[in-house]
Amino acid sequence: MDNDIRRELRVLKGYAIVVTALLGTISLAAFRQASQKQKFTEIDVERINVVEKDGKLRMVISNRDRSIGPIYKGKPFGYAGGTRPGIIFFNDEGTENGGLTFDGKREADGTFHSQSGFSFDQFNQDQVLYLQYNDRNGRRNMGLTIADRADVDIYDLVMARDSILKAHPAGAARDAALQKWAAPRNGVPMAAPRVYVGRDVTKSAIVNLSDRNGNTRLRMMVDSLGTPSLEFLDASGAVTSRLPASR
Amino acid sequence: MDATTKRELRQVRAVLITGGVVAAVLSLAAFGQSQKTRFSEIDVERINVVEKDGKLRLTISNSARLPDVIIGGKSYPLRGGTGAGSAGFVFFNDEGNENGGLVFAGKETATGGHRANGHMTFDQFDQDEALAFSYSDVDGRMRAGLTISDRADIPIKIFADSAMAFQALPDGPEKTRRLQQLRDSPIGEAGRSRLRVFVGKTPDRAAALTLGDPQGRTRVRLTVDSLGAPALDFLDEAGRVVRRYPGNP
Repeated sequence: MDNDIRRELRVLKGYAIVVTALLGTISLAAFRQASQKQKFTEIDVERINVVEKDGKLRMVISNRDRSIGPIYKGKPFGYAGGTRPGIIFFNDEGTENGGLTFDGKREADGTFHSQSGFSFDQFNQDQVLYLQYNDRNGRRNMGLTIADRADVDIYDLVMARDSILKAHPAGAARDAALQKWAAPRNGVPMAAPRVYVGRDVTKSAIVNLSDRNGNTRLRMMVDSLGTPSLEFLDASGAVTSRLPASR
Repeated sequence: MDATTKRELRQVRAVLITGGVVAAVLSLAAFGQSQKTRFSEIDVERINVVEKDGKLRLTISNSARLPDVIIGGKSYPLRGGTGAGSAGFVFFNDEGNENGGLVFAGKETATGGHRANGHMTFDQFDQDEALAFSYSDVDGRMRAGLTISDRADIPIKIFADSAMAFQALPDGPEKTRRLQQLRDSPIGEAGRSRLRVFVGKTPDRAAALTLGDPQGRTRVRLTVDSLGAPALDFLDEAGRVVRRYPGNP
């Protein structure tokens, strides 16, 4: 072999080794950097998952499309994601336990709807403490609600409901099964609002305190005409006493 | 070709092929990374959560990078009062309009006092705060609680557009006069809020629950005042107490 070819080969070999080594080093550095602490001035992102070291979800911050559906012990259930832009929180078990979501949209026909909420869920259940604003074309309510919920696991509840929907076509049999499903468990309603402080759809400023069955027993109100009152009610909703008392 | 050359060639080929494969794998992995990346911890001055088309959905930021009020895709540098100097979350709806926030601020002042607040708000559609969960504190004089307000059924945008006309003026009597003039004009209705519900503690150190009428006048008040006296008051439209419980024994 002549010396020219040999020199060429040596140069090529040297080049290949250097480039490969460089590439490897840079790539490894890039990966390492990703797993360390990084600093950004500003980033655009469609979704952030805050995870525990083992990858378990702790919090999801996302736009609408990538928002997460309900998760129970790491498993999706109930309905698909894509409807809850904002922040969803999870507990140590990987089960959803709260959220802070904001929504609002005007449709092509000019109507609008808007809903914002901040909720805390009972363990393995649904929201029991929440701040909410709901609006359909100006028919709106906003306030603080505190509710009781039956001590039934939400996953079992949703699975039971889904199997009823699957077993019965729409009709009397399905309605009966759903009614039974929604009935109180051990005398405790599925959900019973206990406290509401807010402004309701009748434009009243209102405070409701309710019994364990969700019946309002004490109501303080200034209605849409500006009339103030404090009422005590019985379990059937009849007013038994009212202030200010007429003189 | 002699044996040495053959060996050399084999070596070059091996190195090049290995390099190519490594580069391909790493590059693919790097591209995969741009879909979903994992960090242990990041420092950031602002995060924009955006829809696929780039529309803002929410921002998480320090105080300097807190976004201006955005209405209909237009920025209004009108944030003042409790909004100024805050850091936290600002939320936007499907229309790209700001519709809420969760922000915190706290600062020592030159005179040795302090100003602090924590503020979570839900805005009425095309309007401003309808529900606020907030704490504000100026030198220990504080208010904390849940506030619910009625807002006009006309968009806040017309008010904001009008306010922009004198926004550039320095804070002072002229600006205050212009703002008052705007508030008193028919457009002022778009910027008005009427207090319907408050539950919390007030600057005069009372624990209170008040309900207001649609004009924002308090008509029922349940309080335990700073001296510990409990009362339930009914008020008329002029703010006079017309009935008080417990009545005089």
